[in-house]
Amino acid sequence: MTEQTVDPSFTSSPDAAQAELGARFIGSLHHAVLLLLLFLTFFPFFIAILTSLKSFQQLLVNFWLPAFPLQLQNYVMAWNEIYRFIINSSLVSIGAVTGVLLCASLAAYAFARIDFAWRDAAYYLVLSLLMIPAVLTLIGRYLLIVQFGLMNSLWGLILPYIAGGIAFAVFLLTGFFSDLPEELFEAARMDGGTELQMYRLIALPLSRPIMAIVGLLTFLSSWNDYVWPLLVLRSKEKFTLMLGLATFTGNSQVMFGPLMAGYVIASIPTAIIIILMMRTFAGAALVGAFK
Amino acid sequence: MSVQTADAGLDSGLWRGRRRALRRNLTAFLFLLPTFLFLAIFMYQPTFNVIYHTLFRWDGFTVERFVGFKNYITMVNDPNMHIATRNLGWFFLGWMLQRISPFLVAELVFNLKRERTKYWYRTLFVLPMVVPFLVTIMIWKFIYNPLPTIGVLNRMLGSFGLEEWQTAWLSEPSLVILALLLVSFPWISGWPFMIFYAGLQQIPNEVLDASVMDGCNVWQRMVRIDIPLVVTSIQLVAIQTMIGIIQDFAFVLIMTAGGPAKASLVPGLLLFMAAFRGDQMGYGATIGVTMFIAIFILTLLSFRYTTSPFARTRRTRET
Repeated sequence: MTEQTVDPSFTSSPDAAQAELGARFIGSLHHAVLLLLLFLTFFPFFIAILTSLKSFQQLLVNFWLPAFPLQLQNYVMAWNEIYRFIINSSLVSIGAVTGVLLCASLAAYAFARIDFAWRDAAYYLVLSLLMIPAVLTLIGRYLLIVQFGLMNSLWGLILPYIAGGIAFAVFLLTGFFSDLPEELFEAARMDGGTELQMYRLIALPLSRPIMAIVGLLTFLSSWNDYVWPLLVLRSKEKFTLMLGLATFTGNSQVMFGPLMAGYVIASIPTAIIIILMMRTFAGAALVGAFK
Repeated sequence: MSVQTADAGLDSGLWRGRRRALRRNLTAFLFLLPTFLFLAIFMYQPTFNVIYHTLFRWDGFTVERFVGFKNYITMVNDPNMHIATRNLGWFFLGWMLQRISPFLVAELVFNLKRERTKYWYRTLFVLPMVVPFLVTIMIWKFIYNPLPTIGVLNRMLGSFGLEEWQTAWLSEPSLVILALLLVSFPWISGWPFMIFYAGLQQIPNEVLDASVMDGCNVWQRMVRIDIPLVVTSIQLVAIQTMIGIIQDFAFVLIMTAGGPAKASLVPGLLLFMAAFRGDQMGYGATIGVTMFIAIFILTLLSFRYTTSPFARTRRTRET
């Protein structure tokens, strides 16, 4: 772990040897601090995983270390309780991501590539929504959902999520579309291509990485939301994963094992999606965006 | 929007140009239609609806009567609002520090010598981002569990022989805010860490080399070079955090629901309670509008007194 490779005994003067020792001490202190921070960061998750594999008696007797036999049935129990929530959350997130990508990419294409009347005004009309905090629209949206009869329906989540994600998506995608080289579109126009064809055959295929990022952001914000499902959903079979987890007590006060197992299972879908995104093309774009 | 006007049979250049412009406008209109439908229904309408109804006594469905600015006056004099604002002040201080502190950790990692070691630290510090926020909260609820044999913190104190320190962390009015601020200690949240680290990576190597040549120590370099050069990243995180702190109440709602007795109440939660648990939609809307104005002013101020955090993004986009 330490960087120092030169043995202090090889250095000639005692001063240099002392400096070398000092540097080595600072170097190991540096790593010690970082390792301590890492340990503290991961400590709650270690405890959660450990606890997820114990029965209540094992937890009382042996709190800090793994206890055997491992209680794998905790995971079966938790899965039976929350798989329905995972399906609901998946439906909601897939709906929101599809809606945002479709609407926002069409709009962004128009803003970036079509020269139409009132273009700037329309663009600022969309961008101004970035200033509106979600908490301001919370009440108004709730009343709409009630009036539309969408209470206790997954559509009551999907439609507002699409609306909530569009503004930022349009902002990102418009920037990207207007950076595409004009020659591509000029050539297509010469061949008599319509705007819809150019959108579908030029803009969309070239913007996969940015679409993936917009998709990821929409996915995470809809997947991780808690307050809105709490307001809209009433019956347990409609609950999303976050709402389900908050109310999930493993059927009893003392079932910490299944409870923690549920939390571990609930982290898997987001982990898979984020890691997949990092590893594929979106990773390169993400790194580019932050470098 | 009608195309028929161009059908007059006049095939002059003027008409052709106008017809093309009309067709372009129509195409753009169709491209924008779905977006504006969603925005009109779920963004503009609720926003104006809410702002308008702050002037009424309103349960959301039937307007009872026009009250002018009475809701705002009630809010200013509401003792709950005073408690909530004071609590928000503490949360604001604590959470601001928390979100900026990963800068020091980013510096620690950035100053390592081997690229490979840096890569592993970076990956590991960002990794907790994959765990959903709510799961982290629920695990911390378990850490703060009041039972001496179950709560991780209490159990830890017990094994150090500090039984008299064991307590119900989230039910003690004097402790609850501190306990909430300590959640997810040591606060290395992946997002600020990523932004800060990316900012440090943008510092040109020549500048760093020159500082070594001139005999700068690490501390001098951090204060004189790194902080001024990544100030835009710091500001970006600060603005996002500020907006988040003012409006997000899910965390407090799940951890304590504002309790014990209002000791951890925040304005967002007060809005939620008034609007959805007390049928005072007009009053809830008033709190919402006030929060919006506060966020708006703070954002404008931070743009005015510092350089724009988006200046760099804009510049890179133009190149």
